[in-house]
Amino acid sequence: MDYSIDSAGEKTVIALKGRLTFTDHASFRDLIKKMLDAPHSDQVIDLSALDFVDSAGLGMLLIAREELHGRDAHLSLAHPHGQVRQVLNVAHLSKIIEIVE
Amino acid sequence: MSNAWPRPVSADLPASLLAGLAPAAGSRPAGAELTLFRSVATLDIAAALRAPGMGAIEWTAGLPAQSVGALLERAAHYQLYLNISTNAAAQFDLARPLADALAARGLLSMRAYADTELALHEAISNALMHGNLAVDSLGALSLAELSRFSSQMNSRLADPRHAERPLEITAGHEEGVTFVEIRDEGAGYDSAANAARHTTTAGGSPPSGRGMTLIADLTAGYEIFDGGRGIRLRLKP
Repeated sequence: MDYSIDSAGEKTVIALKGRLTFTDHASFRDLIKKMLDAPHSDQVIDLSALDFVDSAGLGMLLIAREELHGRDAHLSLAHPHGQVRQVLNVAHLSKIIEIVE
Repeated sequence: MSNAWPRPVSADLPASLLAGLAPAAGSRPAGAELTLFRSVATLDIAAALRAPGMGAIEWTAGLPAQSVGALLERAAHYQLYLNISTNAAAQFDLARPLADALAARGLLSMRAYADTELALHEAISNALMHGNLAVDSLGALSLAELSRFSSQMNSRLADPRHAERPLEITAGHEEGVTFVEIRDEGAGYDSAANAARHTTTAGGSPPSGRGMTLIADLTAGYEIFDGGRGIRLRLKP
């Protein structure tokens, strides 16, 4: 998984690219730390360039949500497609975290 | 030697090992070919699995010819066979080449391809993380728990006692249904206790257990066997 963080606008937007799986634990941990240091309380993870996610990846997205929530910040997911969209649906993630189509 | 079985691809496989395997060639099924490799760096694993033969075995130092011969005998019972170390399995995405190999053998339909790829990925990562590497599931949805998980994964992958444990992946077709079995050499687990632990509480999301829920949804069904060291997936038609 690759990622980029853009805090120039009204929200912090994190763009994920490639595959988000159990092997990404270290880089996602670093990403969450950067999100907690970001200037905005409203943050979006853009999934439009993410091609594959597994259950560990879902868990890491939920950890990001929980950590931000604990600091009164809000996290949403945006533009899932293909396999990623299917897995978010199967796991009923929209009940837990806002997903913007 | 084009009909040698297995077909060694690593230059550093000891001659004594290959010589010791010679008797196994006698029981080679017609048309079957197995690749014996020393390191995933020397192998195109997708090509090795997709070929019309049966699959591949990773040779780790110290595994005697007799043990490799026993694996060859096991492999002959399946239409697809892969025996790979945990360390190698953690470096490669195995689910897609396995799904491709099943499709090439006519064991997987294109409409079930995407579901099966993810089900395989989940079952393999479970066997790898919680079986062979004995890494604990996330106990909470927190950065502290992710850090604990990350550090435990790294330390177990650096420990050959865990990282060299094999994963065995086999596939076949029985009574009209394709099955894939994944076996690890971990301590196993109590599936009933695990299911209870992963029950969602009102208003919350469980920190782990999502993988098994996905597997149930993405396959025609699954069974846990050998005290949690094995899982048999029945693929969707």
